[in-house]
Amino acid sequence: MSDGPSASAEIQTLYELYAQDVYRYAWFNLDTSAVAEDVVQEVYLRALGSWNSFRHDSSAKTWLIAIARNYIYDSYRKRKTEDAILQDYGVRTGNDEFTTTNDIMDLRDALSRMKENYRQAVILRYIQMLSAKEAGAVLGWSEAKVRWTTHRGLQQLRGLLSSDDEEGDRQ
Amino acid sequence: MRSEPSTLDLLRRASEGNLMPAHRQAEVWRKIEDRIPEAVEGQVKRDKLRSLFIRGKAIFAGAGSILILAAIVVFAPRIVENAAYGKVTHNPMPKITEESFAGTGLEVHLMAKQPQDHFVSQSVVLKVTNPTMKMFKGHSRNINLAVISEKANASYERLSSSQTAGDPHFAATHNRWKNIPCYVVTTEGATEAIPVLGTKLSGPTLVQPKPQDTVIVDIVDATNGQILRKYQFSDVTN
Repeated sequence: MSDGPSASAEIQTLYELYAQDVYRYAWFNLDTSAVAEDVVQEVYLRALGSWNSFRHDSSAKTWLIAIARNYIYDSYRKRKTEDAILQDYGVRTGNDEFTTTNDIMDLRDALSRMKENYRQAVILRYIQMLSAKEAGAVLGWSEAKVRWTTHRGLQQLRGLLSSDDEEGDRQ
Repeated sequence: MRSEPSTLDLLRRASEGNLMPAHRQAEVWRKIEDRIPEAVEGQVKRDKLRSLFIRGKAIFAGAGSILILAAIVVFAPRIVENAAYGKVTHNPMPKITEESFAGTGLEVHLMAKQPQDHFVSQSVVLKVTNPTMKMFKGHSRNINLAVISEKANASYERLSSSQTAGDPHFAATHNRWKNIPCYVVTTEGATEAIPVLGTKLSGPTLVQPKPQDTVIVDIVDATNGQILRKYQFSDVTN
């Protein structure tokens, strides 16, 4: 069990350190800033609930990202069966972001069109800057699989971004 | 096509800086703080349930172990005992290897009793008029009632279907009792043919005991009907 105040203090520290990383992970996986903020909330509350079971054999960041991933997957599963919620999430928008540039929005859009495994590998390795081992811990994969999938993911991402560029040029 | 450095550069830029503005970050933390008591309370409940579950599991495991130990203590001696007889059964044969009965007009009654306590048959199958009768514990696939033969000191080993094939009564019973281990009843000192195989033996009321049946053997003094010995064999194929 979380030990009340001390666990809360620890979680607050983790929040200050890694809230942006969790948010970034959620933001690149989901549709809007509001949804990403909800994910951040849930992740830290879940982390508080399972603080005592955190074995510290992975970094706190990896642990939080793993919680975020599980939570997002749960949400996705629900969303697949509930169109109404999908409507609530809405389509990707370009006007709800605060500090993002068009490039970053394009990147998120391209990532959203990638194969799920590729997207996860690229986000964890190149945006979350996790090592192959850490990304493997989050995804439950071997390091070799992480490396291979990241490589393939990058190839796909390059293709998607370049096709977007060509379309932009035509317009 | 976007060049390699530019894709990686884009990813690098995506990994830097704060996507969530500071005021939003503070706002999210405030929301988290509001929900901390609720989360802690929920966790306390889950922990309680988990500890109850673990305790219950331990209690069941303990009780199960005790039951297993009790079963071992109760049944192991029987199993060992029966194994000493060359068979394992929870219904051991009586510990009799040989008994003698003296007198005249001895009768042996065999009855097959089904597990549900219903007598299927009560056939008087043997009438021993010889003054002395011995019972030997036997376990043979060819045991049958004809071991009480006109031959003195007959033992079941000496009897085979070929020896008794000519006896219609024996033949009639032979198959019925085949493969049934039972006590071998034989006689000593018989000097004349013993009318062991009466008509009742081959009559329709005689039922072959099934493996799960209980066989009761009574040795009765025919002169006064007194039961001299009563044996009960359960699970007769063991």
